[in-house]
Amino acid sequence: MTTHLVTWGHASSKGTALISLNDDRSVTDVTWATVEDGFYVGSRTGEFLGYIDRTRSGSFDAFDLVSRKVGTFSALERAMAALIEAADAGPVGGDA
Amino acid sequence: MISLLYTSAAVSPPSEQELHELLAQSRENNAARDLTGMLLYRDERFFQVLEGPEESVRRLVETIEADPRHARMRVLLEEPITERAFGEWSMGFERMGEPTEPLPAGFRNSFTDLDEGALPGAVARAARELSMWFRVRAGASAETR
Repeated sequence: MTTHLVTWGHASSKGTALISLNDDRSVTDVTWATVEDGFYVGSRTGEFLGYIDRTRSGSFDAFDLVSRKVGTFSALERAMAALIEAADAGPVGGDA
Repeated sequence: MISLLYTSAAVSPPSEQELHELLAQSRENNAARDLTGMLLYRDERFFQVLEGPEESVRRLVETIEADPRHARMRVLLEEPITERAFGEWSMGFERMGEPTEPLPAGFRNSFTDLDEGALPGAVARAARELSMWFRVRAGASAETR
């Protein structure tokens, strides 16, 4: 199973992570959470952005809200930024 | 239909055999009651989503509350649903390992948000995060359904 929609709940605005995108925008309304080591989920104002899964090689695979792969990235911060960009403007490629 | 997430503590850490028996019983009962869901086992705690007809869910919750294998059962989230999130699983099962790494800066811990005292919005979000984790891991695991 690789494609699915998640319909639960609403995001909290607490505990948000600050990251900087390439165009110097700052994104403060995204909540990032760790479910287990190497598995991270992003949400924004009640919307599920997607998840990031660390690979065995140490890169980071990012997937959007319907589990479409957004890309593979060399750093977690890059994967986080890509998920936000994908949510805002469509899929982007990876750098790893 | 409703979806209900609860957590409970295992009275004693179940053996592999006991876990298999619990799952087999759960899947048989759920199929008969039109119930679907998932079960996570982590750090001697169960996290289970039950979804289906409201009466069936509530009856099963009462049964679980009376089950001597469970202690400190607590309903974390309950909401009406029109579609099942786990329609393909009579009761999917995954074990989750203990965390060994520090949280990345600014990140929340989903299980902390499920603990008592967390804000309702945080609980709902954490439940969604667990749901996603389960779906991803279950898709790559043989021990599901």
